[in-house]
This record gives sequence, structure tokens and C-alpha cells, in this order.
Amino acid sequence: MLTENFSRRTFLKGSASLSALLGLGVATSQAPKGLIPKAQAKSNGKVEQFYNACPRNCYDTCSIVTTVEDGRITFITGNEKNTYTKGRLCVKGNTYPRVVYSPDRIKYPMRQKGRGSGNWERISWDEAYTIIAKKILAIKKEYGSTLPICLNKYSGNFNILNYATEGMLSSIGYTTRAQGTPCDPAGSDAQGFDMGAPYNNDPEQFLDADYIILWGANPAWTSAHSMYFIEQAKERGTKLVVIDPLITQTASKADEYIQVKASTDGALALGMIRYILDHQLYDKNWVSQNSIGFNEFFSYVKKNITVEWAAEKTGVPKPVIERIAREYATAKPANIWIGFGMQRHVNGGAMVRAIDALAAITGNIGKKGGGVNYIGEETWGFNYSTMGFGAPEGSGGEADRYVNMNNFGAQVLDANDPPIKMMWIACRNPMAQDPEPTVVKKAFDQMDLIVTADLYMNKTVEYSDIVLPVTTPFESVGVNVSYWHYWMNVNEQAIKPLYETKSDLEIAMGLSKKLNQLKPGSCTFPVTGDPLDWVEKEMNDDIKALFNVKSWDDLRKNGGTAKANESITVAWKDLKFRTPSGKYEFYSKTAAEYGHHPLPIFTEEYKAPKEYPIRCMSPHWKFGIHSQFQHQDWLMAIQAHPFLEIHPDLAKKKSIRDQDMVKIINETGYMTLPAKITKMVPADTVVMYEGWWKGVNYTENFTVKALQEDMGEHLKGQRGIAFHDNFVNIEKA
Amino acid sequence: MTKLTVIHMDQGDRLLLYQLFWHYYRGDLMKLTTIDWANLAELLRTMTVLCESEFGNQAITKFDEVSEETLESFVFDYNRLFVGPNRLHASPYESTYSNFEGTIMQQETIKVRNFYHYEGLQVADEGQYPDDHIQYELEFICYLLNQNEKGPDLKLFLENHFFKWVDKHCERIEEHSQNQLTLAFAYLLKEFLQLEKIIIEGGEPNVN
Repeated sequence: MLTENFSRRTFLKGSASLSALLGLGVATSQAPKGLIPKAQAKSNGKVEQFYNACPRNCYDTCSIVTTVEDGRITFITGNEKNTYTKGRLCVKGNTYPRVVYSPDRIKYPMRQKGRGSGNWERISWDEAYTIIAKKILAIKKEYGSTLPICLNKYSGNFNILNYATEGMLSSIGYTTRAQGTPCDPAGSDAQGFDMGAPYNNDPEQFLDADYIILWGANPAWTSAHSMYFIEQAKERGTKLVVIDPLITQTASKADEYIQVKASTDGALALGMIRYILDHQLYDKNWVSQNSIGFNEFFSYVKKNITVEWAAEKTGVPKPVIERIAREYATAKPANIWIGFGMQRHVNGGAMVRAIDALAAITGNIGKKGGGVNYIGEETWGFNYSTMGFGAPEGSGGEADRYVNMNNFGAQVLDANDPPIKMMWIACRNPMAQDPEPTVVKKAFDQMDLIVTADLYMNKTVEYSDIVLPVTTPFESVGVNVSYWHYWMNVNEQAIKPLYETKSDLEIAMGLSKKLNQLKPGSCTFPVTGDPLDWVEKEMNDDIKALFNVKSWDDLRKNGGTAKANESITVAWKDLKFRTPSGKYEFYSKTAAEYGHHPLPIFTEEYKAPKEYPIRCMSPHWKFGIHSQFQHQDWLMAIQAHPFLEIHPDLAKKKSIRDQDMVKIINETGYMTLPAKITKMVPADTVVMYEGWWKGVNYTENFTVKALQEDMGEHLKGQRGIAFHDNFVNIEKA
Repeated sequence: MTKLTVIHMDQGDRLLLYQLFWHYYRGDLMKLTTIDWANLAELLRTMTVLCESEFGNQAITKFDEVSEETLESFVFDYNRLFVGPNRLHASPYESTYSNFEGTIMQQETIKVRNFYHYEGLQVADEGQYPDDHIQYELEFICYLLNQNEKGPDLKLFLENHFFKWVDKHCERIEEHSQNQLTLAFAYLLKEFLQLEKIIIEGGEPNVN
């Protein structure tokens, strides 16, 4: 280092040496190396391009083209070779350079003295690994297993290599896992009972649809790239119908908007089915050849459902139900997109089954441009080689233990044999995202050690003992696919990782190395490895054949993005369903095995308690994904504070004016925030957008009870949360 | 702030102060004792011009009176201001002040990098750490200051870079500091900057 030399020279002639005076040893410092003589070969102005993949929990999972000049990102845009991304990013994606280059990123491993105190000190990676590894080994010694260690990881980064975190935990022994998903469980189970799996048509096929119903989905905010195909279809004469309790931005673009009472969508579908059956508009051939239980279902509908009843139940006028039913049944093909929000109710799974049945009886399943589209996982068949090392010899316990991610706090507190003493949190922000955050906090209080790996400070990092700084997609390699479109996107390392950030995979290798140093054989995860080799190992013959690529590197060199073979882009094209019968199951024995009615019957919605008569919904916000992007000042500049949307009639009743502070309360909690008076919400419902935590001491989940959806155990291991069955009262604060 | 127009501060003192700040921003001073701080105060008192200035004097007094309590919270406040993991209250990167987007690794950073390159230097981990972190700029200034023939280059660097943003940086520290030591350094840096501006812009400093 230059200064060491010149400082000695200068101060020898002077009266005092600063270094001697203060006893400074440069070697003990945590600072990076300083200035050095310039490398000979350095040249400025080098411009390169790289392919990146947006790894967020988003339908669109975009392919990004990143321009790098002098080793830094100067521009990003969508990859034009990807016909879904179509050369454009969304408003959130366009802020990525700022995500990478904000001065506020987490830069170094740090330890908090006093959980929640805000008193952080820097530690080295080696210190961090040592603290964590010693705790793991101490727990294993005290409890005879690693079951007191709990992993809570989910959707913050869906790069396939990020499953290294799960692999790392599996490699130390059997642990406790936050299981399930807050996203789609009830709907996925419903489609699992009906068809064997959730499986959606390629969204680019909206262009082939003759009729589109967006049912509780708001892609104008949550899937901007799908809107292109929907708008194009409209241009070609396809009718767009939006069914939603809220007048969303997507609704504003529809040919027809139908305001349905929340949680009565199943009744609407069944009313339409009754009309279709009565008028012989159903596809007799399709149901007779491809389904079982149709007659039982038919009898159920005839006996229990009328269009009048559906009209009363849903608030949708009878003539509208009849007309929509007729239009839908006679359009070929007709396409339904079921949004995740629609199933976040206690009857969510049953409602999805009813909508599935509507698509099935009209023969719209297995048709290009048709389908009952919800979510899919056909392109996710990677090797997951980071997960396959297994528990080391001598691990106590017999298998991992699961707690429901959707009732995390309570189930962590309930786990007593053995208790949970350490938490590893990655790609997740449970303090902001979970229901009943006060219970989650209590669970955190019980921990000896909480380790969180993240990009930015958030509610969970605030309450952690150690934070590990992670890389952005631009600083690590990977591969991403979508649960919606049919593309695979390469993620290249475009720039050096900034500061001391590491990917989850590198962290897994580093921790394993430390564990094995301290106690040889205590972790089976490899201690070294080139991320490029790791990502190549994800590509098996099936994936390569499906996407017609030779290797990850081949795809990197050839456009960075590839679309799956057409054979899988029409869901259930071969009409071979993955149910026990191989047919579409109106009558599902599997459903019955899980305690549900075997038929897609009507299930009552959750009833508002007397003292809390107002439904509070928490749909996605347009400038965020769950709690991510809240650190983005550009996006916060547009809207910096959460607000509560209230219909003018309700506001009048409560003497609330626009911008008044409103207290929203129920038995779980309360918060106070400004009112926004709008007719976009129904008069019995208020809306607070999901994912707000920054700058306020509450989240939208303060009033959300851990009330379960009706389904989820079958395919997701756990039921989801009925986030939208959150009943409250409001008053002017 | 000092009103002096003729500054008597020799190059050794200047170098010592730049070096002191360099150590500070490298994080080398986190474990000093109250005695070390008192020694530093004594050393700084030998620089008359500093003692006689309002903020220089306040800074020296604060070093002299450092309590154990101040030492305990020093590192936490330092990290809150300059390191993280929370939003930084006083970013130590030049481009976050000079770039209209307020981010790191911008064109302004590259200008600093080019300056280093011009002098045959580079950040050891170029691309991993922003070149315009105050720690590197201070090291670079020390390097130039230590060579008499580099006077014009030093002047250019100070005027085009260091002087342009460090005042603002000090203001933010003063606004957000919760610790006597971080505040003392802001005072000392602010005062020293004024003296340096006079020396650099007012012609030849008194060099021994």
C-alpha cells in the first residue's frame, strides 16, 4: 500500500508519527486494500453486454440485456430475443441499476449488538462463519440434532442456484423448515384435484383466444408483459372481461367489467355452469371422453344452483351472468386467467375448482389459446444439484421438521421437541410479510441466533443478529424460468460483486468450509466450486431437449434466452391428466382424502364478525413485489406512504374525508394511516396495498389473522392464508 | 469558521491531518482508548491555526474529553453514518453527492478513477469498491502531497473533487451524528477543509 511507505518517510523527519502515537497497525484494519500501482494493461472505455434474468417472484421473469462500461452497469433493457419480454422491462425492472448502485445496500457482514437496537458492528466473513458454525455445532451437541435450526427461505430470488441455501441446511443434518407458500396453495391444490397439477397455457396464446376472462387478476400491475398480448388480442376483436371486486387498472382496460362480491367467485362460476348446462352449451364430447364424475357434478348443480341464487350471492345481475355464460361457452377458444388474489379466501380452493369446472364443461382445457390458467411448473425440471448432498453421518433426528410458513410465528413457538433456537432467513422478509407480525416477533425473541442474508435493510434484518450481504443478479451467475411463461433465461455475471457481497451459493460453500474446519465431517456441502460449473450442472438432458440448447454456456453465447418446445406450451394438449384416473376429475377422491367434498361444490365465504364488518383487502402494489423495491427512492418518490382506499359512501358514514388519518382495527392489531377516498373499491371493503413497511412502524398484515385457506396441503404441504378475509373496523383517528 | 487569510500550516501538519482522516475513514481508529484520544488532542494542539479556529478547537476539546460511553457507541454511530447496514446518513462516496441520481459507480466515479490512472495508480480492487470512497481520495491526496512536484495535480484534484463534496458530507454528519467522536471528526474535517481551501486557492502555503 502506497501510504504506508510515504507515511513512514514523512513522519520520520517530523516530531511525531501518527501511527506510532495511536498504535495503528494497518494489518488489523477491516478496510479494503488501498491504491496500488496501476496495472499495465488497463484500458478505459471497454463496453460489454451481458444477459441477466430478473429473479423476482413475478409472472414475467424477464430476460435482461445489461450494458457494462468500464466494469459498471450503464444501461439495462429487455431482451428482444425473448418474445415475451419483448425488449422491455417493467417500471420496477428499469430501476435495477439503482438497486445495484444505491449507497444504501448492505455491503459487509455485520453483527447487531442487541436485537433491534440498530447498533451494528462490522465483522469479517470469517468471523460471521465462525459465529454461525459454532452455534450450529453447539446446538447439535446440546439437542442431539440440528432440528432446532430453522430455515425460512422463499421467493425473493428464484435463481435455481439459490436453492444452495436449502442444500446447505440439508447438509448439516435434519432441520426445521418453513414450508408452504403464501402465494398459490389453495388454487394449486384445486387444480391438482381437478387435473393432477396446476398447468397454464403459454400467455403468448392470449393472441389465439376468442374470449378472455381475467378472473381476480390485475396484470396491468402485476404482469405488464402479459398485458401486451391481451391488448393485442383485443385489437383483433377478442372480448376482454374482467371479474374482480376491485376496479383495477386492468378492469379499466376491459370491454366489460363485472364487480363481484369478494369470495363469491365460486358462486358466479357455478351460476354460469347452471346456465350452460340448462342451455346445452356444454361440450358433451369433451366431458364424456375426458372426465369422470360429470354426472354427479351435473346433478349437484341442477339440485343446488340457480342463476338467481348466484346473482343474489355475487351481486352480479342475472342477465349479466347469463350473457357472460353464453358468450364464454360459445367462444372457441375461451381463456380464463385466475389471479392468485382470488383464492386468498377460506373458500379459495373451492372457488378455483368451480372455475376449472366451467372451463372443463365447455371443452376449453387442452386448447391452444384456451385453458383455465393459474400457474405452471413444467419448465422447472432442473437438477437442483445444490440440494442433493444429504445429512452427514451421525445426524440426529430422522427427517426435516416442517412449520407452516403461513403461520410461522405461532408454529415456531409451538415447536418444543426440540425447541427452535436458531433461524436462517434468506430471500424472505417474514417480519413484513407474515400474518400476525407480533407473534412472529415473539418467535424471533426465542432465538439464540438469527442470521439473515439480504440486499437491503428491512423489517427482518432490523431484528436479526447477523446480516450477510448478498449479490444482485448482475454480480452472480444463474438460470431462471417462470411459473407463467415458457422461457428460460441465462443470468451471467455482468460486474464484480460490490463490497463484500456473496451469492447464497458462495455463502453455502463458505459456511461448509468453516463447519468442516471446526468439526470435520459436520457438513456435506462442497467447500469450493466455480459457480459456472454449478450452473452447468443444473442442465440435464430433459431440460436441454425441452429448450433445445446444448448447455448453459451455449445459451449464454446464443441470445441468453430460449423458449420451451411447443409440445408443452398448450396445457393438457394430450388430454392425459395427472389425476389417479388420468381424466379430468369433477369427482376427486383425492380431494375427499384431504377432507374436502369430492365435487367442485359451492362453499360459503367467511362471514364478517359483527364488530368488524369491513373487509380489508391487501392486493399487490404496482411499484413493488411483496416487500421488495421499497428501498427504491425512485419508486417511493411516486408514492412514499401507504394509504387506505375507502369508498365515498363508507367514508361519509364514518365522517372521513380524503387524507384524513384513519385508524383501522380488529382483534389482531391496529394501525393509523391516511385515507384515500375512491370509488375503485366497493362500499363494504377497504384496500391497503401489500408490502409496505418502509418508513412506518406497521405492515398491512397487522390486522391479518393466520386464518387458513381451505386447501394447500396436497401439493404445497401446507394451507395458505386467507389474506383477503381480513375483517376490520375503521374510524377517523 | 476561521477568518485567517494567511495560513501557517506546514506540509507535515497537512499530511498528518490528511492521514488522520484517511485512518479514520479506513476504520482504523475504532479501538483507541481515551488516552489515545487525549494524545491526539495534544498533538493537534501543536497546530496553532487549528486550535484558534472555532470548530478545530471544539473538535480538539471533544477528543480530550472522550468518555467511555462515547467510545462504546462510536463504532455504531460510525456505521450508521458511513457503513450500514441501514440507509447511510452521510455517504462516504463522492458520486452520491455529485451525481444527479445520487448513486455510486457513476461517471463522476470514473473521473476519479481516471485521475488515479493518470498518476499511475488504481484502487486495488477496482470495480469492487467505488474509487471515490473518501478513504481512497484521502490516500491519493497524501500521495500527491508527499511529492512537491505534484502540487498542480493536487490542486486540481482537490478543487475538482475533494473540495466539491466533503463540505456537504460534513453537514450531513453534523445533522445526524449521535456521538461526540463522529461529530468531532466532522468539525475537524470541516475546519481543515476551510484552511486547505485558503492554502490551495490563496497561493503558496508556508512550507518548511
